[in-house]
Amino acid sequence: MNLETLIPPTDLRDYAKDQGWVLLKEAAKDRLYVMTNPRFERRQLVFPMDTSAPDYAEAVMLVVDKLAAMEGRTPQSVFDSLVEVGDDGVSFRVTTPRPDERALPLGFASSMITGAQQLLLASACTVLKPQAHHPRLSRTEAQQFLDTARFRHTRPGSFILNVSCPVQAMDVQSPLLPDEEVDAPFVRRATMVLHRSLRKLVTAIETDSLDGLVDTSRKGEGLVVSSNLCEALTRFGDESLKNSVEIGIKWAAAIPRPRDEPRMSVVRIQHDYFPRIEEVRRELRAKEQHIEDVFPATVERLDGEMGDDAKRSGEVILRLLTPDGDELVRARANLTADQYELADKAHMTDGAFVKVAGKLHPGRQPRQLSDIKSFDLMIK
Amino acid sequence: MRPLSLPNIESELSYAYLHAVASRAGMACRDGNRHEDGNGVDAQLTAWLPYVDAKTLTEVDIKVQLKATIAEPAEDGQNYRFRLNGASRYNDLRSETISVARILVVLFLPRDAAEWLHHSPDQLALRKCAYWESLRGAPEITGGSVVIHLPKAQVFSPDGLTELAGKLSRREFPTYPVV
Repeated sequence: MNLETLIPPTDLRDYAKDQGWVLLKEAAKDRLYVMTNPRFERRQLVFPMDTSAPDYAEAVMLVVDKLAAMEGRTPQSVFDSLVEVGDDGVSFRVTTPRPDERALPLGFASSMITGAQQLLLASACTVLKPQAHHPRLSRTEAQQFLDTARFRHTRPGSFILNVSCPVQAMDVQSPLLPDEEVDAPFVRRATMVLHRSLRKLVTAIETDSLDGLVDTSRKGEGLVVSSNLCEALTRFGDESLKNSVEIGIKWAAAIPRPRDEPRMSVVRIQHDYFPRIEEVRRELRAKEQHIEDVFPATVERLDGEMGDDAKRSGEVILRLLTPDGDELVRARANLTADQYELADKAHMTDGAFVKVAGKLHPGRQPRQLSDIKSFDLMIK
Repeated sequence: MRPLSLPNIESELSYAYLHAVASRAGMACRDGNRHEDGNGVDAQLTAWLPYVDAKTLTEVDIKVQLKATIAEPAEDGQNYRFRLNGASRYNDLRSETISVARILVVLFLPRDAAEWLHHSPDQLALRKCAYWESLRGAPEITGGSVVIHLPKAQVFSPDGLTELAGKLSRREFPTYPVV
């Protein structure tokens, strides 16, 4: 099947409209879309309304060729735009100081993908409930939003991660955010939150007004930038690469663009911004309280030392299930020799876990688990 | 690239004729690509017309299947007769539901290759001329070849082409007369 047969006429029409072409309604009786553009005098785009027209693919190809020539692009790039006409797009372009950089560490590439997922989740959660920190990003609607997102072809010449989100993919109602336009679909609202949060954050860094941003976000005033969004962004920075990232937002042509927004806008995060963003992340999470509870956990790592009494004790890494049952958290704990022995047994036994009562502190993972009151081995 | 055979030269001259007439009529002419060739399209013309009303197109495309022959055409007084080989080529031209008009253009060249093109300080003359016909609505054939009637009145000239573009801008598709 040819690529052009996969492009519905309404998508071609919507794309052209987004480029400034105006539909002539009079041609509809001939089952044709006819479009004109004040920028291109006497030029018209003419193509069938019906995909069943025997020359539909040819007609699409002809229109694509004409658009490409008028826009000074290649037909392939016009096709690429057409297949994403119903999607809001987010692109992440990594630049490094070395112009001849031909590869990125695989771990960093993986971190970028995780960061992109986290950014989308954080934006969706902010649409649902604006707050400085989302204790969990696993809300059903946010997860659905992530499920609809698609990983697009990258472009040659630089490291670009393209993600597109079908703008009509979800029908979720949630209260309007401050200054938000009415009636935008959920996906568009999440993309707008992402875009505005990025701009707000970068402007605050560049105008040295991060304190104000943290303050208003904590109070829930205006557009709230979340710690989760900041954490996601830090995944795009690599200290050894000293890389920057350009995040491009492209609005779906199928629905009207947000007011005063260009078709494509780019927010650049320079490599020296990443430590600032990490500070903001920490500040926004500072209000988080510790959790004192009994946690089921698996033992991930044993790092204890041999004591004078020939018994091993000390640091272990546990994977705890939080009380709400939604999040697995890696935490560091200091165990006595007896507790350490149980941890060792749990670590070495298939299906075994521990139940630990203590205080889980906020912060980046692995978090700290202190004041351990009990430590029991549980074997299924 | 290889040396041109005589049929290659006939074909090249037909493209030159097409480009010359289209240019004189103020139209763009582009040779067909491989994809279009598979659909029986050798070239594509685009005409721009003055604005009349919102119902009338100002940009009209015409797809051309181009032939050249040195055979002396038979005629019936009104039409030249041209044998078109290949049912698929014929059927590509006869559909009534396509959105972009297609025409057959046949360039008749003198039998003697020395007569094809004359050049002097005064003129560049390509001898004889081409005729066009729309096969829209022509009866279906299943194989072999078919004789096409090319009206002598439909000389492929700048004026004739402009007149055709005007009709197409009003969505008036010329159809093949039942002979």
